Amino acid sequence: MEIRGKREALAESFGMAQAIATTRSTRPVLQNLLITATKDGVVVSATDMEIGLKWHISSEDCEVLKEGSVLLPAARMAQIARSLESEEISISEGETLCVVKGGRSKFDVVTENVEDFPAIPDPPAAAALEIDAAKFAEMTHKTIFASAKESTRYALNGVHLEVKDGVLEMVATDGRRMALIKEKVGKQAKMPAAIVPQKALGQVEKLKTAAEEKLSISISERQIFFKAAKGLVVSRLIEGHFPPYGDVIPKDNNKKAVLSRAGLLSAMRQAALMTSEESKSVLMSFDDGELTITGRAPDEGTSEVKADVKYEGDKIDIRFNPQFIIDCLTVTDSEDMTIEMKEPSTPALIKDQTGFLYVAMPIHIV
Amino acid sequence: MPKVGILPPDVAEKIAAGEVIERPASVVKELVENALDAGAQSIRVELEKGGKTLIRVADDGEGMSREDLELSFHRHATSKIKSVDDLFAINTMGFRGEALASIAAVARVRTVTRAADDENAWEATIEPPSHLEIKPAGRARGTTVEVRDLFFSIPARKKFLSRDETELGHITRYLQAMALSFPHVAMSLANGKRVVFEAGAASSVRRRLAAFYGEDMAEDLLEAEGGHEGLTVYALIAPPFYSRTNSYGLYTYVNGRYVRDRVLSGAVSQAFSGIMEPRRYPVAFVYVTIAPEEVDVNVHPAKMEIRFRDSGKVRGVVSGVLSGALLKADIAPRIREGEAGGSPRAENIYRSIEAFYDRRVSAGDYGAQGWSQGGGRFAGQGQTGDARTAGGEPLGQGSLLQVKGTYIVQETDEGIAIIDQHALHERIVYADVRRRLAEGNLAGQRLLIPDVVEVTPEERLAVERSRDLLARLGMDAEIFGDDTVAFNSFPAALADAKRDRLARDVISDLVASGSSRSIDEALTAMAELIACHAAVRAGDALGAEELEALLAKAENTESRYACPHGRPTKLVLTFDELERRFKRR
Repeated sequence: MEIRGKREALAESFGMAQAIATTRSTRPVLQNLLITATKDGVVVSATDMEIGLKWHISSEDCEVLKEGSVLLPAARMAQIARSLESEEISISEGETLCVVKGGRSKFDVVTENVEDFPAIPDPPAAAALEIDAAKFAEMTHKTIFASAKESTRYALNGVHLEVKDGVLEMVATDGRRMALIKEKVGKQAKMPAAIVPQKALGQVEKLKTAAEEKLSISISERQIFFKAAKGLVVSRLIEGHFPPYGDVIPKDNNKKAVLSRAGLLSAMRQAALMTSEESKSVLMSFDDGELTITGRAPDEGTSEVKADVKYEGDKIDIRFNPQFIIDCLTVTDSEDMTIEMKEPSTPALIKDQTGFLYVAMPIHIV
Repeated sequence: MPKVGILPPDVAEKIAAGEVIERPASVVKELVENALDAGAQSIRVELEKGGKTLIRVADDGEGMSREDLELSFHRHATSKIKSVDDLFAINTMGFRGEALASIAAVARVRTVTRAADDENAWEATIEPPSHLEIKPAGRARGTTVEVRDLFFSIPARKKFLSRDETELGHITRYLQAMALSFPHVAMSLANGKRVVFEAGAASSVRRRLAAFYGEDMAEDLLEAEGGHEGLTVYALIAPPFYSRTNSYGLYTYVNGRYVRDRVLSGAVSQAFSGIMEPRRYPVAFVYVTIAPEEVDVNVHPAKMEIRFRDSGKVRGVVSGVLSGALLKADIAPRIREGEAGGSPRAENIYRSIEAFYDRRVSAGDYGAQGWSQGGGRFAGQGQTGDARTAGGEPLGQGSLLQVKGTYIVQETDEGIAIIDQHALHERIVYADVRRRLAEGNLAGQRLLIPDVVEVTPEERLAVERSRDLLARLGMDAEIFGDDTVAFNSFPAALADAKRDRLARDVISDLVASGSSRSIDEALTAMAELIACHAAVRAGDALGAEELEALLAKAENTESRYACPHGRPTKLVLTFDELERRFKRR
């Protein structure tokens, strides 16, 4: 195998591969990336057995001088490609070593046996749906933060995707708050529910290389495939039952407050300064035209921050982990937010102006 | 012939004597107390066969005149009290006037004594029954009493004496206890040719303790002093890591008298609760001074038992003074070279540290992988690194290093502190939870969808019984059918991932404890569980800022030297010790 290509293009692909290749030593072969050169061009692959990546480098960016494939350490190759100063890099396979050259630098890199590298599956012929890649990235951004970090209920560690009546719904929850966003994808779109690991969605975001690029999503029994012009990310699905989130969204919250997103964010951040790490909470008191947020850190002091609010109705005092509120305010850029509440111990529904829904569970003291 | 007969005087005497004199240690006790009451500055105790064949107590006290000597062998002959009223204001050790008479009833006694102003010494020998012989003798000021063949006149009692070593053990315990109460009196104990201990006059209790327990412990002892309404407490307390598996490390005194008393030992345990592991006992020396009328020492002839008029007050004051000192002090164990009297645990810790360094050296020197892999304990662990470089800003005191995702190593003024991050954070959370409980109920983070736990019928009942208790802790539990409990909320302090484990642990605890606990006990147990689950675990990598924040928070936390289960949170390897071990001096 022998290829010669633009340093930038190669560095980008190796960087992508490095992010996926495992650093764990339990299966050393997974620390590598695979370069496959055919007459169709060059493909760089990597996998940790959860997530797989195939990245196409166009023939403009990389020339195939001799077809073949080679397995090289991902981290080393990414470092080499990043630090070389030449415009071009050439990689040629020798007997036992692979020679990497750029400008006046040369690296002899030990290769691994290509046969040991697991095959990364191809997506099924028919895609389930197509969506604007930037839109999908935005949807990911608005939900992924609400997923659980290392819950023993594995389903919560991922983001739930489902198409219902031509609408793609993405939901994430850690059991204490939930973020939900919907997007029309067309009546022809059909996709069963799937729970996608957070790490995979992080990689999908990097697939977008051009404006108005399309992302096609397809599903096999155990895997989900995200395909863009230049690359493919395949991920194992998380097995398990995602909670019936439709039931969780409160329907009869009758206390409605409308307030400026930036104003609430600032007030919440200030009030949160006086809370303790061990049990963070702030009290939000909604009264006619005024919201008062109070915090207290034992032995250290208290905070009281006021903000304007459009609120009519009986006064309500409701307590939240301030981070839960801050999180949902930072993922959207709507001017105003709506908070719908019922009682201090029942879920609050927060909406932006684009259809983003967020359910926050309060903190309650008996 | 009537069935009821009056006992002959010698039998009655033996019965009475038997109450006072149970074993050789009782003889030593009576004689040593007499010596102390006589103002002795030096007391020598010599035994043969653990006191069974000979007990000799010699002092340099004020001695007795010939008349006093003669009277001393009569029952209820005492110089110490004159009327019943005096009984309730006893300032001396002995008071019953039973000592010599009782001993003389069951053994062969010889006394040699000389009063300060007497030209002669006098020797009295008494062979039961009551044949007293007194003749002039030679001796410096003071009194020597020799007791031979204890219980020769009561063979039944003699049979019940234990092995020599056991009897010697009782005497040693008692005499050591007295030595710790009268530091300025030189005391020695020998059995046959063997010297058991020899304690010269000491300037303070602490110095006296050094003679028995070693300099290290004497140095580490915390001083507690305080009192309330005529009750004063002085105590020297060994930090919890000196604790033992039996209660022999606890010495309690009332008005100088060594006593064994449940009220006092209970008060000490209370002060140590939560900073010592379960089933371990503190090492502490507690001296209570109380108005004589507030305590009854006349409960039992052997006088080890006492009764307080207001035991609740005594308990409260003593535990208050002790816990005050424990809360304030730095009770992190010092790592020292193991030496006699040092705590066995500190020694184990020291050994494991030594083993750690040995391993490191060999891996670094000879290991094929070298520093970058297996041998480099401080490198390649991901989240290690000098906080000074990682965080940019230098830390207040020394730099921090996380080792094995479990321990935090910190440079301090004194040396190197090694902190168990889980134990420390657990203590911090526990203190936070306790404080919140004191103010009201814990905040519960409500859940979108309840966590469902399958339970046995027994567990279900336990949860049902404790729903109010759980609600106070922020856990809203609901019963669904026979085998399901749903939790609608969890303590807000708890990280998401730890809910199900906490739920299981809480349920097991409720079942195990039954319904016998007081609310306060139950809350304490639950607070411990919550703290344990909310705390960072061993193996959780922490960033430099998190490390710093953890230690900063610890500064404001009470009892930060032990986790709620009493395991230590911190060890200190002092620079002194490092220099010793590197042979720099």
